[in-house]
Amino acid sequence: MDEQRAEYIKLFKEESSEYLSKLNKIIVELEKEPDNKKITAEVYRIFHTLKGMAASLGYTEIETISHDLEEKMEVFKEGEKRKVDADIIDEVFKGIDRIESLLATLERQEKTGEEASPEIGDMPYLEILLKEDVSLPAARAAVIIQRIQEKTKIESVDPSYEEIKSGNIGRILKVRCAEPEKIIDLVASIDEVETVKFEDKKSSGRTSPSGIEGIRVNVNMLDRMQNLVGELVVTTSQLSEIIRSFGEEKFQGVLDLHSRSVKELQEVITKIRLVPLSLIFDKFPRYVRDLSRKLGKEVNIEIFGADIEVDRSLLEGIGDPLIHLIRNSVSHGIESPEEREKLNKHRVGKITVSAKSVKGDILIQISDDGKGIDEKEVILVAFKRGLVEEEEMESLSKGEILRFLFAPGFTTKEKVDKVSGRGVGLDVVRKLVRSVGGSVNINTEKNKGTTISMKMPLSMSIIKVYLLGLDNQLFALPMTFVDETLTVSADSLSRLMGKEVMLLRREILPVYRLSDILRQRSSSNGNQHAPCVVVEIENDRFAIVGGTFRGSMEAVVKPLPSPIDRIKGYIGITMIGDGRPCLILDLPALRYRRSYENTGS
Amino acid sequence: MSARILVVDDAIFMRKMLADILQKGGYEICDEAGNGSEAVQKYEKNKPDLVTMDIIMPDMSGIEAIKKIKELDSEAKIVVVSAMGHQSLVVEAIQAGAKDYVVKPFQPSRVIEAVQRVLKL
Ligand SMILES: [Mg+2]
Repeated sequence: MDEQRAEYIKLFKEESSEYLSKLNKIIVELEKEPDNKKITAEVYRIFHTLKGMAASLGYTEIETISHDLEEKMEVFKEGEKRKVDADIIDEVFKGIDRIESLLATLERQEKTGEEASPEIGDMPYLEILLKEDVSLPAARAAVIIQRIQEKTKIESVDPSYEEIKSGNIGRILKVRCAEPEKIIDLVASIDEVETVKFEDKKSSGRTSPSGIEGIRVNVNMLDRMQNLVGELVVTTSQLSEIIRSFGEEKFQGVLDLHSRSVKELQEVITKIRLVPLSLIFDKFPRYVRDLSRKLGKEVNIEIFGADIEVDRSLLEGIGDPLIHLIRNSVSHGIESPEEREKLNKHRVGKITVSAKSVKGDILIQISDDGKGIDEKEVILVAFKRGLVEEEEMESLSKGEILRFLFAPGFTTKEKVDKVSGRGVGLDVVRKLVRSVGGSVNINTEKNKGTTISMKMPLSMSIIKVYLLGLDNQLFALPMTFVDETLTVSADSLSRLMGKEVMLLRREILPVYRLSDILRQRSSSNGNQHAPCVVVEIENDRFAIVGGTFRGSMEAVVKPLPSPIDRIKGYIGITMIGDGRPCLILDLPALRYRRSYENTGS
Repeated sequence: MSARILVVDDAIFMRKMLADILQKGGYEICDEAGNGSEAVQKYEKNKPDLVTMDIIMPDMSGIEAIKKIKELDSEAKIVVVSAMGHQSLVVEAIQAGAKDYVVKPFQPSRVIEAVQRVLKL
């Protein structure tokens, strides 16, 4: 396939996918307001545009479908009295789905007519781009393949060995091999290689409605860029520390300039990684429509804050949990129309998805006005599963009860239903949200509905932290989990049933000593006045007391170097101003490492 | 000096294709616009030698944009590039002042021919 055509196809796919997700969203709106001429005109225009683009690349089937739907929509346009009806809406949905599946197979289609080469298919592979001026690309490709073979087992290559031998190779070489992520650096270090990408279609695949088309390619490069900038930030602060220790004034000016550029570079990279939530939020209306129809329910969805921008990796991370939660709301939360009418509710149920930024974090909430979760039922199930002793059952707080919902496999459903597969499955959601540095909270009231809140940092690579000193070490505590900070005196702490607690306004909070959480023996526990951080994780509020406050900062998160990376309890490492490393606490993991809640190891 | 062209189309994909063809033909792309009102704005800003104009676009259609551009500059040279099936719209565009038209999907040579012809006017 010639390079320019490949570029056009890529652009075509990206733009068409955007149009299709927009269509999916507005068609659901049009279904509800069939005389909305503005939406009608937009649907018409999108099909018109798709037709023109598809025709330009010779994709006849996409062209024909679009052309057909364009013409069908034309009779409903401005000035025409006819309203769109269920038939045309269904046809449009069918058309969208067909075009979507055609788009997915475009690359393969391009290959037909060429010599049959091993199917790269949907397996992860490395895409290697040779430098432009490589003189004997076939020979170079052979050398690269050989170097990879020395390290790992190659499944297949594209173009095939035969094609390469006959000199039939462009600048792109695709290699499917075992553990491609492990040799990516080796390949990148080869002189004649311009770039190398790790492509994993499976994890960004179309099968899940949360999959994001077309951005995964860049993410790998962006990740590497961001890691490199992270390195730069670290070495810069180390450099400035060294220079300061020499007391050399003459370096200061250039060092300041350098630091400023590095900081700016970091800001730019953080920004280009941002994408609007609409990329996944736009898929929800169609999803809710299809699912509620299948279940015989009537559900409206309202979406707020879709224009908020978040880091690409965060967007990918939250797609699945969000779909999972929406699925729960439709299948378990919202009652059937008849049931709702009996309860004096509107027969159409409502789901609200809202996003907003709160102090540098993002808060996403999914609410429904369905049947809610019955606390009594939750306690009973928890008891049956041995999560709680009989004598404790009486004294549990609402927060403690709802926390059972996060226990692995916990469900109050008698039978595991077909749609959700595994009932509520909040443990899965929690695991995914934790993996992007956030936490989940539930609020529910019987017959009123359920709200699930997820709070997480906008980016996993730069997060806001409090610095706490303990003895001679510094620890960073992500602000995402922190509700407030204060100073407490030793006599404001008391004991309740043998456990240390404190009274904050009218709330009794369990107290954990920083040194206990970190499992460090410390001499500084006896301070009269100590910092206190009020933390909220998954319906659990508690206070961490101890150490010394050492300020707050924006921390560039670096992965832990091995072998420390195997220790649970830290999400990474960051450098503070003077170049010293500082561990960033993984509060959920630290808090629950010994409790009934298996932290998902 | 090569002629400067403003490319107007709501699809990035189409703009890229057109720009590539025109650049290969030796023309300079001075700017691109994704809808009618942007086209008018960028016409004023860049004073291009020629505009390729799509018709079906959001915000302001190509026809209206042609009228507005003609109001700004009665000498403006505009070539319509539009998908098939809208003969009446193309006629309307010609009436509004477009000098030629190319139908999508286009052969690169058709685009270049039309642009050459209109520039010579
Ligand atoms: Mg158009």
